[in-house]
Amino acid sequence: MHGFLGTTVDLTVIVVYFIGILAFGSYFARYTKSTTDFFFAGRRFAWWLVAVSGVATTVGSYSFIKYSEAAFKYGLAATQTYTNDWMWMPLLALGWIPIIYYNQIRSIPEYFDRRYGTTVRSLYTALLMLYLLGYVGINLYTLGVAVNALMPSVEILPAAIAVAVFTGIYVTAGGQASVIMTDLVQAILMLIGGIIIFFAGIYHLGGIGEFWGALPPDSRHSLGEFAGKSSISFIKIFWQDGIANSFAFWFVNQGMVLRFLAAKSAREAQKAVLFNSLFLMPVAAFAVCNAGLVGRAMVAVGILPENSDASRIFVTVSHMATFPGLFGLIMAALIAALMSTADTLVNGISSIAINDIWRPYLLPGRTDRFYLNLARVHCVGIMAFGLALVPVFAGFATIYDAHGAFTAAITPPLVVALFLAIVWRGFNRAGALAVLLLGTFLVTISLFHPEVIRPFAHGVISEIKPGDPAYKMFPYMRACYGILVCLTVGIVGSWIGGWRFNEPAYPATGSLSVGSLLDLMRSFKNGEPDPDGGKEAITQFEILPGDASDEVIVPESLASQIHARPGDLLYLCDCRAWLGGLKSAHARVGEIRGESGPLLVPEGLVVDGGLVRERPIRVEKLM
Amino acid sequence: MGTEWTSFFYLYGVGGFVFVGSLILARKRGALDLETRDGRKVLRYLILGYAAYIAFHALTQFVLPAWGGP
Repeated sequence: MHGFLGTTVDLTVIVVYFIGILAFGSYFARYTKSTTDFFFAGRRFAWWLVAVSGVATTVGSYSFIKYSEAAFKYGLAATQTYTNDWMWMPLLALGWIPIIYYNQIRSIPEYFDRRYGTTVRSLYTALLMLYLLGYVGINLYTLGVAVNALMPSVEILPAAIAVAVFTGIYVTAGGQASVIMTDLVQAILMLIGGIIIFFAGIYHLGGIGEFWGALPPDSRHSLGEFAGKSSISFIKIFWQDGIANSFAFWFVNQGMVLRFLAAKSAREAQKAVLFNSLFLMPVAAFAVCNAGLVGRAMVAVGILPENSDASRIFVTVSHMATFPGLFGLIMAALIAALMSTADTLVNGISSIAINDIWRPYLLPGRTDRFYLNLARVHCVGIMAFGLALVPVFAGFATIYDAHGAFTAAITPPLVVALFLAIVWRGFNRAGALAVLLLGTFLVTISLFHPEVIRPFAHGVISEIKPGDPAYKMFPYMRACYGILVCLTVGIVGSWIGGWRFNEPAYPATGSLSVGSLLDLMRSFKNGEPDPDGGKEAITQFEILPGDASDEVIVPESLASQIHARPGDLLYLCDCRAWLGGLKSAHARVGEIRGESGPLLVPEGLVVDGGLVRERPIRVEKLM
Repeated sequence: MGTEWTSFFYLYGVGGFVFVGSLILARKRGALDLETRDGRKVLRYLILGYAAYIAFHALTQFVLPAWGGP
C-alpha cells in the first residue's frame, strides 16, 4: 500500500473499525432528546462506565505518541504524569463532586456565577474557553502527528482536518451518550492494544529479564529526569502536571464535569474517580509508555538503529512487534484514543457556550430544541478553531513541550481561583477578581520576562537556545510561579476586599465550598435524606398512562424492601447490568399504596428512560 | 541524600500535605462523615490508594532500578 506503513489488511481493519465506531456512536443519538441528554447523558450511568469513559479521555489527552516519545527519551519517568493525581482525590471525591452534583451545577462558570456574580463568571468563562480551545488544538495536532507517522505521505494538518470532521460527526449527532459509549469501546481496545505491544516487544527482546537489563540505568526510575536536568529530578512535572494540570483536568475541565454529572448519583461519581485513579490510571500509564520503553531496549540491543525517531517510536515498535491486522487494530485504537479526548472537549466547550453564554444572555427563552441545534453548530465551529491552532503548536520541539508550555501558562489563575473558592469560605469576590485579573497579568508578564520565574524554579536549568522566544524559558516552572503568585494575590485581594470594601465572605444560600454532606443532600432532596441510601430490589412495573410527572406509586412490600418513604429519590434501571444505566430514569416516591403488586411508573419516565415494559427493573433508593 | 530520595520525599511531602489537608478539611466541615458506612468506605479507599502509590513509587524508584533482571 503506497504511503501507508502497514499492509492492506491493516488498512481494511482501520476502515472497518471507524465505520463501526461511527455507527455505534450514531446509534446512541436516540438517547439524546434534550440539551440535558446532549450534555449530561441524563445523569444515568453506572460508576464503571463513567470510570472507563473517563480514563479514555485522560489517556487520549496524553496519548500514546507523546508518552512513548517521552518513555523512549526518559524511561520509566514518563509514567509520572499518570501517577501523581492521587493527592487531589480527597478534595475531588469529598468536596468537589458533592458540590457540583447536589447543587446541580452544569459548568464551572455557573459555579462562579452563583458564588460571585456575573463579572467573575464572565472572566472565568473567557479564560476557560481559552484553556479548552487550546486543548482541542493540541489534541488535533497530536492526531495529525499520529496519522502522519502512520501514513508519511499525508501531512499533519490535512490529517488533523480529516479526523476532526469524523469526530465532529458523531459528537454532533449523538452528544454525551455517544461520547460515553464510544469511549467505553475505545478505552478497552486502547488499553488492550498497549499491553499487547508490551508483551510482543518483550517476546522480540527474548524475555522480561533481557528487556529490563537492556534499559539504561537512567531509564529505570519512576521519578527520574523528565524534560531536561534539574536539581530535583521530577520537579518540573510535579508543578506543571501534578499540581496545576491535574487539578485543572479533574476540577476545571468541563469534559470531566460532564462525566461526573452523567453518573446516576454522586456516590457513583465518587466510585468512578477512585477506581479510575487507583486502578485504571496506573494501567493506562504503562499502556501508553510501553512502546517507548521497549523501543529504548531495542535500540540498546541493536534491533532498532541508534538514531530512531522518538516521535514515531510508538508506530515503529507496534509495526515491528505485531503482525498484519493486529497492527491495523492498534493503530485504530491509537487514533480512537486521541479522538476520545477531542470529542469530550468539544462537547464540554459547546456546553459552556450554550449554558453560560447563549441561554442566559444572548438568546434566552428559546425552546430546548433550538439550543440543542445550536450546540451541534458549536461542535463544528470548535473543531474549526482547534484546527486553526494546529500550526501554532507545531512550532514546538516536541508534543509534550507544546502541551507543557501551554498548560503551565494558562492553568494557574483557573486552578487557584477554583481551589480557593472550594476550600475557603472567606474567599470573596475581590479575591476572585484579583486572581483572574492580576494573577493572569502576572503570568502573562512571565511570558515576556521569564527571569521573574527564576526564584521559583527550584534550581531548574533553563535550556533556552539563542534566538528562541522568551516564553520558551522555564516553560514548566511557570506553573510553580503562576500558582504561588496567584495564591498570594488571591489571599491578599480577598483580605483587602473584606477589610476595605466590606465584600461579603460567603453567599447566604447554597453550599458552594467544602461543607456538610448532609446539608447538601438535604437541599438536593428537599427533605431529610438517608445518607446510607443504596437499598435496591428487582421488580415488575406498570405504566401510568398520560402521566408526565416523576412520581411513582410504590407497593408496601417494595417500599419496606428498599426502606422507601414518600418523597424519597429513586433510580429505576433496566435490570441488565451490562447496559450500565443507559436505560434508566430518576423518580420520586409519590405514594405508597397497596400491599403488593407492580410499581406504577408515569408514562413520561418510561419513555424518557427507555424502560422496556416486559422487562423487570432494578429500583434503588438513592436518598 | 541523592536526587532519587529528594524527589520521593518532595512528592509525598508536598503531595501529602495536599492529601492530608483535604481530608482534615473534609472531616472538619462534615463532607466526610465517619458515622456513615459510605464515609468510612471512601476514607478506607483513599488511604489505601495513597499507600498503594507510595509503595509503587518506592518500588520503581529504589528497588527495581537496582534489579538487573530475573
